[in-house]
Amino acid sequence: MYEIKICHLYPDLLNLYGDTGNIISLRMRSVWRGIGVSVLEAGIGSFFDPCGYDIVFIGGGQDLDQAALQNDLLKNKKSAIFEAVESNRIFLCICGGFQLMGKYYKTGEGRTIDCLGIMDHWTEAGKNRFTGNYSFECDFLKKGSFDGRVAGFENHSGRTFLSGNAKPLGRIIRGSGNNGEDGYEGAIYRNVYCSYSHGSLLPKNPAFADHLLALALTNKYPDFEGLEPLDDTLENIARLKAL
Amino acid sequence: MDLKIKAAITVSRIVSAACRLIGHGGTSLPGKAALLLCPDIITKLSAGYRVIMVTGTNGKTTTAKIICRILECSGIPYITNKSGANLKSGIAATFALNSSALKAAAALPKGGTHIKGNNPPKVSSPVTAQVYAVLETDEAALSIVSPLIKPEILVVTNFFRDQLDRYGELNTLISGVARAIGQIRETRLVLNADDSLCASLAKDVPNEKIFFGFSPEAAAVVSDSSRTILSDASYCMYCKNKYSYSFTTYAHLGGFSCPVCGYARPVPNVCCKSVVSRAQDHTSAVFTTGNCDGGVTSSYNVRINLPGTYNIYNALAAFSCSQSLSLPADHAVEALGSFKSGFGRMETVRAGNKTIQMILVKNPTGFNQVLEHMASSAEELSACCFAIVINDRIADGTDISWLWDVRFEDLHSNLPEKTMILVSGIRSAEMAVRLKYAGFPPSDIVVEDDYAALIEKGLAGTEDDGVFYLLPTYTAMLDLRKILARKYKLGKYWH
Repeated sequence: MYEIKICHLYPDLLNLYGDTGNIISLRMRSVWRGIGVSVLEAGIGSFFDPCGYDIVFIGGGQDLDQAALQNDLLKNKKSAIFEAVESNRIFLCICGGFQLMGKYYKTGEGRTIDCLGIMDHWTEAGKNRFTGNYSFECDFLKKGSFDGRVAGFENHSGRTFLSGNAKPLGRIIRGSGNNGEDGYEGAIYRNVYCSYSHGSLLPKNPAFADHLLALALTNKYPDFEGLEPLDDTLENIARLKAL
Repeated sequence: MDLKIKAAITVSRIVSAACRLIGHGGTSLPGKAALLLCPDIITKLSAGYRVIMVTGTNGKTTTAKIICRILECSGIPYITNKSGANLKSGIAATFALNSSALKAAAALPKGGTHIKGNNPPKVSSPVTAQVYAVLETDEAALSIVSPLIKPEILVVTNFFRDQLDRYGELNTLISGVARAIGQIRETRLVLNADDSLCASLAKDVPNEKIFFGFSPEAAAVVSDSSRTILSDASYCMYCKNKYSYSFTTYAHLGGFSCPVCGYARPVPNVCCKSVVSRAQDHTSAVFTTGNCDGGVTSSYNVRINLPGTYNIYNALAAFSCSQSLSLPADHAVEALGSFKSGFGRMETVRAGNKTIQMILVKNPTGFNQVLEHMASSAEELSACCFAIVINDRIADGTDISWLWDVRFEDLHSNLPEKTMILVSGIRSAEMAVRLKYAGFPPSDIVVEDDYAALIEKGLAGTEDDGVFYLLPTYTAMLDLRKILARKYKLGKYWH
């Protein structure tokens, strides 16, 4: 039986508005296929095993909560996370998690907060928030008849700019995305997938969830031949309505 | 009264009458018209009132309702805003449309009652008439409205994550409330001791304060065992270390203390000492006043006319408010046992031998409490039917990803196999997905977008003597209420 291990990083701090929906999606889509799944937590002060997880989830948090974990992240977990990324572990990083993978976050007061620097994007505080349903198109999801369109909800004041190793996750169809200027949404580097889409990103975009699961299983099991299809009628209705 | 105010009052009344004529019950338009003609109308018209403001994430409407009932039981005249009319425009409308209340009260010989618009008060008021204004105030609008009014009392119920699309981050919101308090130093504060976010408002301000909260013994009875602390408040807001808890009630509420900087739950002045019994429609409890950690001065047996732990908190908040006003505790006790629930807040109606209970849902903590209430109520859940109605209009919150923070997994495990669950509303499709991932098989999830058909299906799925739980977001509640009112003549029962 196949098995995957999912790590929720800082689950009590980075879980803003429904971010755990992504973990629920990965877990249930494994369970329905008879794939063993365990969700492990790595909080402040606990050990992050660079080889211990197949998928790592980093959600978004409030500014104050992100400040609470800053020290632990940079001092105790940075090198292990770097090692996990370089060995092609799968990461899903949403909003604050997306920002943390980059170089820095510059606040409205002009203060610079160091981030992990594993990816080359950076973020600056904006005056107004980008809030609303939005959609984007991801080339890596275009398979068979699937058009690669993803529906989500964005709610962020940070403006993120891609550079160097951080390549865009998708192109904006509707909404603002990374910064409201360049038309990009999110970022990809190796198997790290970053997006501003909160909460229900994976549940109503099952192709995205399966893409991550398939990558994780391919990494782990050389004989893995692909995921069994599931009946996604409800998910597809929700996605098409939200697009 | 100057001409500008007179004109503003007249115009707001005309606009209000016009709104009613076209079947638009809103109070925001008359208020906007009044503010346009007389920008300082709130300051001018509120001056004659003793103002009580109620704010916070959950429980504003119910707490304000109980406070109004306490005033009624004490024979004190008051005006209050309609549910939902809790922004600046709604509050302006409340004063403009009730502007005859002060005159009416002044004309009365003694005793008093609720003065509503042009209705002449039936019971008379004290010689020196004091009219109260009980204002449910949106937590984000507080910093705009409270400096204009300078309320005598500000009640803050709690803070939970809620509609981030509208309010932004919780910490930003609380800073706004703290800034508002900085401008109203004479106002007495009534605060939730068990909520680290709410209690922080007392720090470094000269205002007089009253705290309310649970005793550890009472908390043990209601404690939500499957509770998960959302990120609202697991870490100290001053030094960012993790709180330890001596007891908890639900979400992040309880006996918190920071092991590093020492910020801790203040000792409540009004306390729920014990919870005697919890029924489908009420809670029996013992409230104490004085120092909860020892020097108790008085204790009261109370019957709270609504079920649920969160309504015990609302009752505590209202009781504390009456203490701060030095009203006789007997009147508060009487009020707790006799107030009517607010618009869509556990409103109940009979449909033959079945019951429809409508409970507004708007954020994860509130929804989890509703699920907890249903699981703990005496009613056999297998005889019940459920409908969840999710809209994403501005008043509902346009972001519905909070549904993933609600523990529908618990609802699924509490229900027998093959229980039909109905979903509806603008985002019914997404709600259906949420339920599927909580473990409900897609064949048990019925999407019904037509509200009349939804109610019929729900009642058909409810067994005799069972409850049909109708769980809508705000705008869905308004629409459902209209249909229920027509079909079951609810109006006359519900007000």
